Amino acid sequence: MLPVLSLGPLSLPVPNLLPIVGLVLGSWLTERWAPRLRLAAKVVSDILFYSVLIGLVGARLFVVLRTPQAFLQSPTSLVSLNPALLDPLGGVLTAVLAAWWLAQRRGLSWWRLADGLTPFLAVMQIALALRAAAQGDFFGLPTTLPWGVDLWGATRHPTQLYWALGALMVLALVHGWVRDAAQAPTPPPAGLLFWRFVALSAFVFVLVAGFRGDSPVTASGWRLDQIAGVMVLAVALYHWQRRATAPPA
Amino acid sequence: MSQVARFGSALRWPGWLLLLTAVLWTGWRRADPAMLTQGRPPAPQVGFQAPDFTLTTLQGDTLRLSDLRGRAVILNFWASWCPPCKAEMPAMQRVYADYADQGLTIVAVNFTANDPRPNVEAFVARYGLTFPIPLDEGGQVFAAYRVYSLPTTFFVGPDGVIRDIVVGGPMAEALLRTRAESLLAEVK
Repeated sequence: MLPVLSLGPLSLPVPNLLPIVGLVLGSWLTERWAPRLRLAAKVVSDILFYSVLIGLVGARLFVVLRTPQAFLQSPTSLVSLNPALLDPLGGVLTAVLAAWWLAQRRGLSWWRLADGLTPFLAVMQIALALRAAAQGDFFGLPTTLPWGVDLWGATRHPTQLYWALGALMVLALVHGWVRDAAQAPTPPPAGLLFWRFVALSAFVFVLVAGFRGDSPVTASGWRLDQIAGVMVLAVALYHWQRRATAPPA
Repeated sequence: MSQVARFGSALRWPGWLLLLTAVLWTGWRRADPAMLTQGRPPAPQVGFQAPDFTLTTLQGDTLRLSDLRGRAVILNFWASWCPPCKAEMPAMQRVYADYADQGLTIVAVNFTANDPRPNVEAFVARYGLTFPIPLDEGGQVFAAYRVYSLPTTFFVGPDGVIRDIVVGGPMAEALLRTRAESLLAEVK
């Protein structure tokens, strides 16, 4: 756990910094790998940049719409830099809609764009896992295994590190598929890379969630995060294999 | 062809293997809801009981956190020399004035171990703070809450469980209001 990084007089909040680092590295990798996927690097990185920007605005607007009274009493809070005043789900939803709209405007197929943005998503997943580790979220069940970590009054599975390791392996696989795509005579079916990434990420998540000590559970003990992960996995596998077996366009 | 049949025919054996593994693992790792909360001593983390403490306030009263069960609590850690603390205190006072009668308590624990008392008194007078200011003269409450950065704020529900943590500041007034309203919804 590393909530704050002290550099001389500066105290940097690591959980807030990691998504920014992920954003920068992910954007860089996306721009670098786009040509291998036969995409124009500038188009993909422009769409990514503006989608993130619009997503940030959307994340704030979702909070404003939920609690307008709070902002009426303090209008300056609208432009506050507090990340706690951002709605993550609202931000992702707005960013996806923005990316879809920008892709339409640029005449780029949605699924080709999704493939182009996959390296970004893979890096962000690692950043989020490390963020959870820095913050002590997503913690594991108590364990006696030698690699257990002392956290919140018990020796626990380092679930955040399991997740980060799994996400790193997914990124390595994405890298391999991107390299294969660059060497293939024809571009891969649109959306194949994206759905492969989603399927493997969901699989990793389901595995890791089984060790969590903070899962939301039903009365009969089913972990809701795992159930959601299995459903995402099923959908992603269907799309992956449908694309993989489709005749070339 | 039905949706299920289409799904079945599209999925090849490696896909089925992956899906089957995930389903079996999910079934095997079912958790007794009590198991997830067992072994959870009070800890400064969302979902845990807020560590209890007893301190003397600047006003000379004794304040025990667990005595505030049933109320929404904003637990703020601050020092008079910390610029973001200065910036957010007026908003904190306004929020307290607006919501105290609905069941909100703000407890602003001062880092007295590293903040001379006359400075604290001058600060409180300057900003007209009316909520309790417990003085952590030994720094043990700061240590128990693992406060690495000032200000740090914990939002504690009426059951004494931490709902949210904001590290750093200054917090926007709207943030304080949204969190206060969300906690107060549990009090009502």
